[in-house]
Amino acid sequence: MTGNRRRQRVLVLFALVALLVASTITTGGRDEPAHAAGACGPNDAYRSTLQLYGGAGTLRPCLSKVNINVGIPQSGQSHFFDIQKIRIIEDNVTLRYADGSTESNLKHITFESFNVRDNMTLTVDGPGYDVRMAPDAAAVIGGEGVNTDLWVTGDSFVTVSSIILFFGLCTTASVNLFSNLSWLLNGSSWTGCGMNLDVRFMAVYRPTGSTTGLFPIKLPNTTISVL
Amino acid sequence: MTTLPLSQRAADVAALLAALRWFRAFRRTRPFWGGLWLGLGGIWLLTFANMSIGLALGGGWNQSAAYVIGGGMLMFALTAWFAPFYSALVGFTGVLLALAAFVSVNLGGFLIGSLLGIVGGAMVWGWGEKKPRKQKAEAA
Repeated sequence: MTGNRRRQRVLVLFALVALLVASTITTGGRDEPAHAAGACGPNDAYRSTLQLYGGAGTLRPCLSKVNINVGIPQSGQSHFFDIQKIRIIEDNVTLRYADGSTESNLKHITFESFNVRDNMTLTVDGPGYDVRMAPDAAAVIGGEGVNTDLWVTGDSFVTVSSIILFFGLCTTASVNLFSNLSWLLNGSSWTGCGMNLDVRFMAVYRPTGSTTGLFPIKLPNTTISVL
Repeated sequence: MTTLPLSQRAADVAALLAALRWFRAFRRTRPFWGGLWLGLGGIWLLTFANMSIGLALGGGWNQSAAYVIGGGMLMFALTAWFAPFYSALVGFTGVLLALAAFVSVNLGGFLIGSLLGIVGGAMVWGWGEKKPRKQKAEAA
């Protein structure tokens, strides 16, 4: 009933080998790109050098090619966010990633005092899975007096509304067109109807220095799901 | 209400008795109870991992430990049943896995998985073949 010794020996060997293989292939794990040894090439040669808006600082991040999608779907003429100013800083940025590859034609834009009233979803496109963060109320990525620098793809877009623009109707502007519209976007406060930004890197900072208790990122009552 | 013919009922009873005899023989020729507790410990760890296999495989040890350790305990429980000659090795490995689960998998499935694994693994490790039962006539 229990089979012969030879068969049992094979079964036990198979079980031990399966355990060894499983524990070997799963113990590697993934290190954070910024901390893994040699993650950005020899002597950190593959780090990008990024200038913040207005000379606020220089960053040298180790970018892991992860895309963050900031999505606020438009719903009629409803307003979901406020931005003091939308600036295009650099029109043709090339980012270098940790594996040595590069991506060109990215846009460096800045939102001043970015507040989200509702309806935003942040999706981080991870390797093999996505992490989605959906605040169910007002969220802040920046806030009053804070700049939000974003390095985004050109086909990202914001849909904004202003009384001087088409009588307050929601109008979509692709980031590719920001250079042509900078005279308009830079000079006015905007209420927004929607946006879809594919962000390669984001930096949130207060040009005048930080203040205790004023947190630039607030995601209250956020549903986090892994897809 | 329908009644089965006597021959049919007798056949059913005979089949049931045969199944019971088979199960008794199965149980008495391998570390059945130890394997059962060890396997239940593994299933407990897997149940409380609460993580999809895709996510576990995509991450590192922290994500996949429940699958490796819980799955390993279940695998060694089955191995103990079907390769009882190696019960000492399998039981010892099962106990090691149950101990590892305590530090790796939600405190060993909130202790319960580890305890089941340690008890089950120890029973498997200490199992020995039973002496054949004496026939009643012989005993008399």
